[in-house]
Amino acid sequence: MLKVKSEKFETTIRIVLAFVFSFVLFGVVIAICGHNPIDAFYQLFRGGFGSKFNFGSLIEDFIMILTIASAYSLTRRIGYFNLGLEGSFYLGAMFSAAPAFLLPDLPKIVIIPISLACGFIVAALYGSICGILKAYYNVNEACTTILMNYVAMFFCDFMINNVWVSPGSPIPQTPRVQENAMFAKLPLSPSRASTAIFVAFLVYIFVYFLTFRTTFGFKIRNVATNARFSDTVGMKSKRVVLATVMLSCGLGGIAGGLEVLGIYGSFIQNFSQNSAFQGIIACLLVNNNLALVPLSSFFISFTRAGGSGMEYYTGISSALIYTVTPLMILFVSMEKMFDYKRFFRFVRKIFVRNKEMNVKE
Amino acid sequence: MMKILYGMYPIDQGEIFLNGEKVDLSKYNTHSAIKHGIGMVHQEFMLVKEMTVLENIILGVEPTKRNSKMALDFTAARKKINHYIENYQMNVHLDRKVLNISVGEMQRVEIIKALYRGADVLILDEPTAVLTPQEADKLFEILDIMRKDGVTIVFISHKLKEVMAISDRISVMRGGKYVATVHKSDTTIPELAKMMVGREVFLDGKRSMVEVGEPVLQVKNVYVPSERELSKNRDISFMVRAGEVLGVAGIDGNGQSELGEAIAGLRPVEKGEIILGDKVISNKAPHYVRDCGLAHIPEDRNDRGLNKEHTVTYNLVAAEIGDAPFSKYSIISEKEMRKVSEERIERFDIRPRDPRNLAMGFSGGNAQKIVVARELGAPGKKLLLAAQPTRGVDIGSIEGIRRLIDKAKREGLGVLLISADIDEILALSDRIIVMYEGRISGEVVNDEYLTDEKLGMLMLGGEADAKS
Repeated sequence: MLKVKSEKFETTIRIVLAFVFSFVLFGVVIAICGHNPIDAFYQLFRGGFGSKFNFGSLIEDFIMILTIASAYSLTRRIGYFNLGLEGSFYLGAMFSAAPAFLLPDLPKIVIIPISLACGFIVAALYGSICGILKAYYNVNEACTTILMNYVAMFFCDFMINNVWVSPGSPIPQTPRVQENAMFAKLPLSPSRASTAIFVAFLVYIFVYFLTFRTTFGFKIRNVATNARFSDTVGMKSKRVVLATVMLSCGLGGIAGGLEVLGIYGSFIQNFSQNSAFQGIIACLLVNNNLALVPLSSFFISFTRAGGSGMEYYTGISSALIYTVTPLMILFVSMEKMFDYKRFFRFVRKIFVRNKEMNVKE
Repeated sequence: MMKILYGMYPIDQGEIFLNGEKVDLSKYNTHSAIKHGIGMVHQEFMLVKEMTVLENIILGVEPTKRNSKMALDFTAARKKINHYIENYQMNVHLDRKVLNISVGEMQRVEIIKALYRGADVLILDEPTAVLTPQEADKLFEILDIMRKDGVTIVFISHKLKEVMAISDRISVMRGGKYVATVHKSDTTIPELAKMMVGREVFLDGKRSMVEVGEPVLQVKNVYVPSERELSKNRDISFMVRAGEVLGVAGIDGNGQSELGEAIAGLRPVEKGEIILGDKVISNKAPHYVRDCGLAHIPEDRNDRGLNKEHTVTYNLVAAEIGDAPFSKYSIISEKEMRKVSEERIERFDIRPRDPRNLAMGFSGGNAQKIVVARELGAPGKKLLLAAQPTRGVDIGSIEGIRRLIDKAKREGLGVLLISADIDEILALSDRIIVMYEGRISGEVVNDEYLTDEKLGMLMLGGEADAKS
């Protein structure tokens, strides 16, 4: 009979195998393009870890990706394809910045929570639109969330061009936030990596704890696998879906807040450029196995930072490194391909047959 | 197994012989099964509801007119089909939509469909599960004529009475394995039951007599909407008292499922009132209804009854997850869940015992026991709503589940038993109401004067005054 534990173990192995395979494939592609793969890998690592600045920019990405991946994991579990995280990322960023430049100077301990909470609430409300449509009217979320992303982005554009204008700046952005609202920098200058990383880990731990240790998480996991069952045993599945979507988008908003308060200091037009999708990919990469999400987030941020390093040193286009992650996702989703147990059985069979032959001889 | 024979599942190993010839298994599929003359009537009918009976029958093998490949030749088809209808004295309306015909008629359509494709081996999978006794008798007559015509019939059923009535030879299977084949004349029903279970069974165990108490469930003039016209509940009223089993009989699809869902809070109530204990539960959320003391064994255990992708433990405590001791301040305790589930597994004899197993690996009987254990294992229950509690369950577990329902009655619960299986209703109920086209067509006391025929009359919408 199937047991939960062995299943988890299998997925982990599968992911590792997918990882190895895609890197081998990546090496082959580089070789075909006429470069030395070993050198490319070396430069990739240098790009990620070579200097304080490189490692710092890796951490910059990591903060955002880990938060988004944790947020996405919630909705992924209930089968809700939450592409709206990009929108909540924008809204969260702008509305986290808003209190920080509108309110008078406040101590750090007060203004940062206020800012993040503000971003969280606005992003959650934004998420509730698609959540209600999905839960109560069964409208496909892939459609609504993508459309709502544009609504969110253009709304932010409108705000920074008309309401919260920063006069005299070359690109449209909000006024700068007060100095107290900014997270302290990590000792990785000249990069902009900040102590927001602790908040990112807090979000991750919160999601993990919520999913596996609370009644709400229990409900999420039940609604995820069988909503009709959940209804029957008295869970309000629709409400669970809505709450999960709102929470997820809210956490996406916090990711935006961390970006503004950790790195930029103001909301800048088009600051994201689909970076929320990197978080989504980090979650997909490990098949929504929460325990591995930090690792995969770290890996994605490594390919981003390392990729630009590699491009700089070897001339291999950084676009190439971005093909690795889709390859990995592809491999992870091909469950049957990495059915290692069958592989072992196959190997054993060959060995046994050889032994038998030896005995016969 | 029959689905393998019909080519719906691939074959791992072995050979099939048909009319003395070996069949090429490498390319064996449904299509070649039909070509070899195998026809199958599935337990769930494979009909397109929005099309007429005629269209359903010719679907896939449409006859075309001679001069054009595109034009359907309905006249020829009709002629051929009418031939079967007359031959076997089947009552089928060719021009009605399948949506609007009765279950018995659908089954006859399925049989004609198989014959129309030239089947000389007809496989019937649990054909009587959805029929009234009268309809079943009629079906047996048809099958009998067909047998005399030289059609081979494979009749799959877990109702031993029927098997004995219709078959010449009987093969017994248990747990996916072949046990034995016997001639009808050489065996008896108890002997067959023994073969099926591997030990003696007592299905017709006497139900216990209990002093009835206060009413626990009152249903007053309830109207429940449904997607199907015949299943809409209209003006339903009855009550269930503590310590009694009220059976709801009726052919599937006459509104019993809707009634059950309405009571469980899964379906809105248009008009009327449902009262459980002293609280109104109509149009309330399932959670509230459960808190009022409802134990609910849902009709479809694979869908509503169990979460197949979770462990036995999770399935056993899912309904009470918000209560102590499973959670405190919304933080769940896996330890407590494990402890209680181990206790329930032991108490309700769920096999295998390990609570970490996933629910999807269980056989029908043990899976249903998980549902029963969750519902009856929880404290503070007043009413047990059991919908088709032994559907698709092996005969050994049927016995066990029926005993548990009887035990619940002895412990003072009111039981509302919804079942399409008349034998089950008769074995367990103290009183019986019969539903027909969404109405209660009669209420009878289950005593020695009650006969199958009388119940069958009510199930077909006859009057209750056939009291003789």
